[in-house]
Amino acid sequence: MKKIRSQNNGGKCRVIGIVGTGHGVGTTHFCLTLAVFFACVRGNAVSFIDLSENNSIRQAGNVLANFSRELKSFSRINTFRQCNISELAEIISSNYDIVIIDFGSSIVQRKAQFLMCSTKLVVGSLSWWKIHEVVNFYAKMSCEKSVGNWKFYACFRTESGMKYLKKNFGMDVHQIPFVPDPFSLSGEIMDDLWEISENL
Amino acid sequence: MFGKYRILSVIGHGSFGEIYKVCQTNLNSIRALKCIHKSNASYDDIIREADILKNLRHPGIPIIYDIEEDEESVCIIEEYIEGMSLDSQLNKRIINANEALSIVDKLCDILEYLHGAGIFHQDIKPENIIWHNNNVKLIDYGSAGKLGEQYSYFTGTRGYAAPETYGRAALDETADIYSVGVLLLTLITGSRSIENLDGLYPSELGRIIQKCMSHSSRVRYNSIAKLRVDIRRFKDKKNVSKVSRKIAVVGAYNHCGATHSAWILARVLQRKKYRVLLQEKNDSKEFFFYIKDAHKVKFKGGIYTVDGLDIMPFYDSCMTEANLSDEYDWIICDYGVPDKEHLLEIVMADRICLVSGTKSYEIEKTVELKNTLLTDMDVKWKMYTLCVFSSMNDFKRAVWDRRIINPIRVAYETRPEKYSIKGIEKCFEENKEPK
Repeated sequence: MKKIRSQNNGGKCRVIGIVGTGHGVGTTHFCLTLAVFFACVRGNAVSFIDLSENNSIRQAGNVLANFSRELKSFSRINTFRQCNISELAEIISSNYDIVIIDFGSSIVQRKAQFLMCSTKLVVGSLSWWKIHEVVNFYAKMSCEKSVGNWKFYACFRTESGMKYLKKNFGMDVHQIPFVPDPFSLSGEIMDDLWEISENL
Repeated sequence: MFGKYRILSVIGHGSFGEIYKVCQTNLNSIRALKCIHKSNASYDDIIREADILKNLRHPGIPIIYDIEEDEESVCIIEEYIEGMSLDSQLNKRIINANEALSIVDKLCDILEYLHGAGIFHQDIKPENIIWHNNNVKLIDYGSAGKLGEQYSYFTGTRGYAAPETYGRAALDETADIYSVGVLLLTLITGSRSIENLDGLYPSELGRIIQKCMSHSSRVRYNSIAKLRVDIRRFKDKKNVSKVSRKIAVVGAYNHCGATHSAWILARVLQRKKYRVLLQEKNDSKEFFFYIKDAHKVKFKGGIYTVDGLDIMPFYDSCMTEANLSDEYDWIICDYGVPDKEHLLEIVMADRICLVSGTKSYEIEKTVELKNTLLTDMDVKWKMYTLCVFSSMNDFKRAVWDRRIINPIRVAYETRPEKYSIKGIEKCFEENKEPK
């Protein structure tokens, strides 16, 4: 059983920025899973901001009306797309408990906004043909003072990949639970997400 | 008789004539011979029965071999069936639950075949079932009908026939399903009274019977195959003692106190050492307020434990189906003001608690909700009205209002964990063991 830690953050909302080391590593999927979890399972007021370069959520919104179950869950989350820094500041100061920002893989263009986030998560893949993206990302960002506090996650982790990153960069990579459908969470997946949310 | 049948004995007497056990002399095999006088009132029914049976081939249906006729009477030669009717056996000994389920399972096999051939029996009752050596035969097809036929007279037997057969509506397979439900209830409890479902343990069997015996045919199983699936699933369960019982808590209007009452019920049951889950089935998100205000909160597998009580907030469609029935004795579902889509779920619960104040407009709304719930199924025997926010005088007035079912006064208490009231425990008397 997991005890809930005090989430008293003085009434301020928590801003979780999630960026991917490359395309197709599951950044948006992870963002949506967390958003649904916080909104539906933890009962938080959640805002989801899509700052990714390919505007996945805006594109998806055109067909979402055909997916009634997903639409119902998604409607619990307030979604914003492509807002600038002042709009972002306004959203953050509104009455949301959690703001999740999907940066896609565009860290370079949105670095300032990413650094504004109180919690910074990086999603990558440790498959041998993708791990170089994690290494390149780390190399670019290592100059940032706060990089030591960023949390690295991967859906596909290999033992050798984890050892390599730990040995050469001191990086711990946490597991993203396998969630086939972010709008349909089993009890076990909820436990894994709970663990993640408690450690953010 | 007719040069080929030697009478061995008289098996029985019917309204149409006599039934003989005969030996077909050429084949040296035993047959049953039904003799009907042509002037007999049941003549048409018997001929009709023969006409239906002649094309049917199933181990559970008697075979018609031949029809012989002379000037005065007609004789139907059919399969001789060994054994006694279920009715005779019920008079002699108690049939246990496993036997009852086995009989009904086999009966469903026969009915599935019949319905597939577009024929409905329309007179299912213990007298028309022969049970011998674990085999079941369904006899007496005098009331049987074909798909789409409409009758100008009542067929069947009172007490076993579906309500719509009294109104001479065009029938379908749901009429036979109703009769199967009554039969199963009779075998399990010894009575056709649906009140006997109260205390039926385990309650999943009660739900199957209830669904069969719904007044409205559209609420029943719409095919024998689906009924059979549920019966088999129930039979296959290894430990039938671990099926949860459900309490549906509903209110006719907002802020009637349904959630608060649901918490009180949960605490009362918890104090009686039951394993309880309190489940939110409405979109108010009130449970999250309780969670945020609680002192001790834990989370596992989608269930919060709040100050020692397991609760599940409303996740809507976000959560995949969880099988909770093995883990809890009671699941209390807070529906608040129920949606139409929840009405069937509510009437299928083991207990229904309507939460209401005792002011006149509150009672009117509650009576309206009660009538809605009673439309398709008679559930009065498991329905209670929890009267909240009422003085003793107001409560007495509500008791005198005969439209209120099983009223129980819930005294005002801000903290459910401190609750102690005797009346509310009426809802949760121990279930009786089956025979």
